[in-house]
Amino acid sequence: MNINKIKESNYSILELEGELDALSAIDLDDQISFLLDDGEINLLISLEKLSYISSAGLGVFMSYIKEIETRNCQMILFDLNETVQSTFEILGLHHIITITQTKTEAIARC
Amino acid sequence: MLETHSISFNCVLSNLKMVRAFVREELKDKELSLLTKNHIVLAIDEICANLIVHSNHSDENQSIKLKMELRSSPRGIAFELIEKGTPFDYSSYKEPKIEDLKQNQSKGQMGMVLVRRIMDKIEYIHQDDQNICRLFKSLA
Repeated sequence: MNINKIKESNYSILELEGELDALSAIDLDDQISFLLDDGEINLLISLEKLSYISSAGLGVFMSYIKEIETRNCQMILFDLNETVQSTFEILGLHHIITITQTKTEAIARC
Repeated sequence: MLETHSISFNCVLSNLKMVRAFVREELKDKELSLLTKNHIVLAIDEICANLIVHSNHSDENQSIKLKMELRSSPRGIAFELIEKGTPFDYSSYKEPKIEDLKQNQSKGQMGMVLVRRIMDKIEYIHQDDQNICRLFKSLA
């Protein structure tokens, strides 16, 4: 999986491309951790080019929810395809993790 | 039983991609929705990841054999994963609450939950010095 990082004035975007599994989840974890340690408060994650996600990827997002809330930050996932969306829905995570349909909607929440 | 296909792979996470490709290829011509195919791929990926990491400690010298059968009665797809690592006591497994995972900032424990939601039958046995995980997805 490839991760492209874009820094804007009041948010950062991580663009995920490929498949997020138990191996590639390690890299995603590092990238999110780095951004938060760097003081980022609005973390937007594009899943437009993500074709697959397993529990390892879900777990990375879940593990940061409490920290995000404590720090008064935001982590918003956007542009999920049907396959990826369904994986979140199997576990009901779409009720716990903030997900928007478009990048515009995600930015509007920052 | 209509047809059987199998692969073997070493216990390293980098082999998960090959496992997913194998399952996708075998499901390619089956009359299943794209979502159902993806869910089956996901369930097998999850089991294999657990067997690699927890049962076999990501030891590249250990291997897993994955067998896939299309069955006619009952109609469905059966999987068998055979390895010789630390046995998993499925009878003692208790599903975690998602809210607890959030509170504990846990990265893991959701894989088996996904498998249980997707597959219709799950069985773990220890036989002849090897562990066998059997999964069945009904296509009825």
